[in-house]
Amino acid sequence: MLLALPCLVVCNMACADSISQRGLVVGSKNFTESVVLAEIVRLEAEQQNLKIEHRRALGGTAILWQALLQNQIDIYPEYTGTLTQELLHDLPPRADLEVLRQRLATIGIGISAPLGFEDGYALAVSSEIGDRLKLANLSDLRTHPELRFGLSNEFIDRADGWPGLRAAYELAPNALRGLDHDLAYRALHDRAVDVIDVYTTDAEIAEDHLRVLNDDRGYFPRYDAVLLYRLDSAAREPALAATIRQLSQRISVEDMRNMNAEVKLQHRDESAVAAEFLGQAAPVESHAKIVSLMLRIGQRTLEHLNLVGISLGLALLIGLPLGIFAAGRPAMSQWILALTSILQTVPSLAMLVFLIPFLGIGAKPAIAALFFYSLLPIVRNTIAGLTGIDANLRDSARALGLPAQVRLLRIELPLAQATIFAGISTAAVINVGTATLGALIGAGGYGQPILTGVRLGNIELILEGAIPAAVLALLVQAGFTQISALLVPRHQRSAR
Amino acid sequence: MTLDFAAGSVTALVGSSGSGKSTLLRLLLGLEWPDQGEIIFNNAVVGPHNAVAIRRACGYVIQSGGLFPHLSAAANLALLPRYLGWTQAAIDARIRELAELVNLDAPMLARYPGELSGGQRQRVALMRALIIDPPVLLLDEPLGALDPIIRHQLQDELLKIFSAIAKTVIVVTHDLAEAAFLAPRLVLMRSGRVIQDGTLQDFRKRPADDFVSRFVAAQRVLPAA
Repeated sequence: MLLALPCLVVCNMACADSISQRGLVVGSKNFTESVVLAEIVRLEAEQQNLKIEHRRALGGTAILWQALLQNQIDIYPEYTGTLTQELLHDLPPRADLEVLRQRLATIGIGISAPLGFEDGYALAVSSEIGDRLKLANLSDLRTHPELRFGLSNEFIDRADGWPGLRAAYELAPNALRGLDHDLAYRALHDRAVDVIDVYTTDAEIAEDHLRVLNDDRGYFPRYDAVLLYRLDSAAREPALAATIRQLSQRISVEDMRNMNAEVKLQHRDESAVAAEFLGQAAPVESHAKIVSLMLRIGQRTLEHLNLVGISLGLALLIGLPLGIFAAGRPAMSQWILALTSILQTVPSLAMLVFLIPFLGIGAKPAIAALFFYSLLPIVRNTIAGLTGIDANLRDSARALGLPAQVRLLRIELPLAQATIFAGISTAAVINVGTATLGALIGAGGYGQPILTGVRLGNIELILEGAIPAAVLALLVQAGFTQISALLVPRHQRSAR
Repeated sequence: MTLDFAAGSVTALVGSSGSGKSTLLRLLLGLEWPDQGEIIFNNAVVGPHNAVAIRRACGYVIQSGGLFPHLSAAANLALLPRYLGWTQAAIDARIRELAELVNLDAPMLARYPGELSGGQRQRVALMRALIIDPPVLLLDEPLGALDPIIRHQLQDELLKIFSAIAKTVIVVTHDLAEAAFLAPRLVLMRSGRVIQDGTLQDFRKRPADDFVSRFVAAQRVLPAA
């Protein structure tokens, strides 16, 4: 950990350097509406002759907010309720736009006028259950604890989500499961759950004939869609400020629901849908269409290998010496193992959010996270391999009068090699899988199509990422097995 | 207890397992440190500062040979001289000389320890202990893991080797017959103490205590046919 810090600082300086040269960047969260809104911002800005890039479908609120504060992006779509409930804890829950504007200005962030629609939280049931149990209001749920709740993980966690809702309506369902928001509709459709949380602009509400329960106690705060942007970027680029003004009160809730439906249910491209809404010609060059499947997979393979290779290399560079250092010091090794174990338990999204202030968004924080996750297997197996050497052999090496360094290189490391190698192999295979999470922070790789596929309910896209990821994991595993077979010294191969 | 080992002498440490024979060798090599008292080697107290020098002045063979399984016999032998900067020619010459001394066929040197018989392994271990020609040779149950015929044969060879190399030898064994065969001076230990220090004759005629008599009497002789 301590050794890793200098390298973080170096990367940090390198990426701080690149910020000053980058063009404008609009970010979006990992759900369709956010991606469509960001595409609208991009297309409108390009109308204003701005050079702007869309970093699409980055993890969640925390990642976008951090990226905005850390000057990694200039603008992204957000909701007023999220600001008061999640991001600015010092404001009253129903603070109006002017209060928000003043508060945000103190940290260099601007807020646009409302885009024209609200996308609030609500709970929904199938119309069949709604009819049968005569459910209309949220308070009606109180008398039906048998209904199974399937709520999105973010909704369960956030202060303005489930904890507050449960208290406000005194709900105590017998069964509550955390689901991905995009899977919830399918679960409801398949009757795996009875109540789900929805966004009021979700396309499936009309499509699946869901009943949205009325918030009769006025629990949910307003979630007006707005754009958050850096005040310094808007001052530098007046055209960005103009773009933001152009979009004020431009999008109705029907518009948004339709656009969501176009993308999620008609499987149309977000860029095309956004362009159509703005009355522009649909862009011809959609990446998905002109680049062939193999080229796409090849590109993502490179990105993925880049994430895995660099993080594993760094983990070797730090983990091996750390393991060697710890192996000779039992008391110290307890601490080092505890530390690397703690790193291992940090949830990946939390790890990524934590890393944004140091490394920004993109490949660097993903590599750093994978590096931290790789340390434990490498350090642990290095310690186990070295401490597991037969005491007779260790003593024989000392009795020969060889200095510690020669004993380590010529005798102890070769004898521990198989165990150490197994640790490296474990780290590599885990890394291949975990690197798919890099897509949450814009690092690309196989996670990109998986994330998009999950968001759009597109199995083909999910497989486009999942199959190469599985194949790569198998290849890495096979490669390591092959190498370790070659490395096994003759004495172990010929052993009966 | 106080024990002196004169330069060029051959001494056997005998006693039951756990009597402290092996520990004595380990203390001498600086692999363990005494709780009290001191070990003096060539007029210097053994300590961390001179442990490496003393280890290089002592060849050491243990029961299991202690050969490194990932290195061929030749590589095991070359480890220390190569570190000390010997030329390959010098190493090869020394290995040939020692192979002749311990009666090992040259092709065996290319093998890995796992591919050698127990007796061959102990021959290689002895070669490794002698590779840089140290003045002292410490053998800890060198024949303990061998079958009786090989053991008998190696006892004969060891005796010849001891006289050929003229070094200070301390050999640890729990077998009194082997000790008496290899060394004129016997030291019987028990629970970390020296019970008697003398020749086999002394042990028989003037046993220091009852334990010595019992230890001598415990040697089984084959019944007459």
